[in-house]
Amino acid sequence: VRCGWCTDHCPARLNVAALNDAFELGDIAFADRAGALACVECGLCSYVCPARLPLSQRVRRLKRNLFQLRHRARKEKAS
Amino acid sequence: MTRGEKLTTAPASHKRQRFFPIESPYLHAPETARTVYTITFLAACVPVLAGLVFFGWAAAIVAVLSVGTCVIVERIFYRVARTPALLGRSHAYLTGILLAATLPPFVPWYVPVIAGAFAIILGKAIFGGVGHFLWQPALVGRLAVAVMFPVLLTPQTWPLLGQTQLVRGDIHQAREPETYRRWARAEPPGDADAFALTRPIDVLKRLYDAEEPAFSGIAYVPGELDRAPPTLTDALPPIHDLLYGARPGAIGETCAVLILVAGLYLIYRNYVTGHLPVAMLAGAALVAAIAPVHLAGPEGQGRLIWHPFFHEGVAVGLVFVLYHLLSGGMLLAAFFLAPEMTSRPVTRGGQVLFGLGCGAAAMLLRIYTTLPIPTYTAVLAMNTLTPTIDALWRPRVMGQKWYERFLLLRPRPRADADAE
Repeated sequence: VRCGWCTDHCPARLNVAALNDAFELGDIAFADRAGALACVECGLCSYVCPARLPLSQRVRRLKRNLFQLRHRARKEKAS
Repeated sequence: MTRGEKLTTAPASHKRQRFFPIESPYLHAPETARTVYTITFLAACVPVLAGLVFFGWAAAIVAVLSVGTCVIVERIFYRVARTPALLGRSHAYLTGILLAATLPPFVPWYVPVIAGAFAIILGKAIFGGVGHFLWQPALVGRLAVAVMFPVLLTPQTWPLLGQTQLVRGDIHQAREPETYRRWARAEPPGDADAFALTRPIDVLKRLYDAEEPAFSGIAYVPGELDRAPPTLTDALPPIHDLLYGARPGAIGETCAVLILVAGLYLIYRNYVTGHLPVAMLAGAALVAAIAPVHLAGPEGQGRLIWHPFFHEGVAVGLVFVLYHLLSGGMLLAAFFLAPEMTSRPVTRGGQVLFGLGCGAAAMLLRIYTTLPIPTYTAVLAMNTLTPTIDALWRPRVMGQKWYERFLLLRPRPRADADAE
């Protein structure tokens, strides 16, 4: 419900609401800009979320996608 | 442990569960969106109940119609549209009571019905329901009826029940009293149940009229006995009338003490961040303190006073600013309408910006325009800017330099390709 409690509690000071938007829109560049890789996967955002959104799971997927993209770019540069 | 079962509730199962199996964390905080909305609804009932006391059963009818319309329209819409209404009902109750709080008590039955339908359909449902709308739905409904019935909703005089007719009096039988100083000792003229009074916000607005300055000063100051008698505080009710709510206005916006108590409870529950109401009231107070006023000089000519806060001493200035904050819907907007969870910015700094903008814009609109609902229009206008504020004021992510959060368009160059 965009209450912002996830952002209040995040130890990495991420804007988790923006990361959730990035997941729903499928916008990887936006997730990178919002600092998805700084996530430490503590799960506090999922714990406090009053709408029970799977926030930490979604950020985990964003991180995985980012790592995959980066790995692919590195491989292309090497070849 | 009695709360144990609640704490370990698994996330709601839906179709995505197949693709996203349950992952950690397995615990959830006991507070859900439904409890948030229910408790906010109960808190918003408190000022509306005060309105029922001061405006009688007509206000109760408006409140019941408004809440009922919101709930029924919500149900019908999601039945017709065949989309799941997540958390819809508790939020519909909240929208209905907030809408009732912003409506005048004397409106006929179709006004809250139309406003409720607009609030739910245009304000909430077409955006995708709770959590997705851009403008506060109750204010969308209020704006819709303010545009549709401009004459009906903004009369010259607004009714207020006399103290012998509280709760049971008829608000429609109002008559203008010849002299009205304060509510506590006054009786409505004749056999009328209610006074017909000018709202304090309309009286205050005459200060800013350049053509015909209506007042010779803000307050009576000892030592300036020769001044022409009509001052601003002569035309306004005493300030404790405004504090306990004996002033004409919309149903839920009059009783300042109860709005403050309910709002402080919301802050205590962490549903509202304290920054936002404080910033909004501070922005409004700042504009009220420095906006130039027009006073009538000794010979009747107008003179421009640049800082009304310092013009007659700080004590009078404080009372003047307090009159501005307590009149109109400023307190209701600061504690209930602007901090609506979905339509406010997420971060603390963004909320401070949002609140300052709301307060300043509300005061400017109130002073310099003839809009019927200046405060609510200002909140709606700032709701429009919420995504911009969210993009502007981002929290400093761990590992970033302090200045990097202000680099708006250029993201921090990540070490993808040039890492090697």
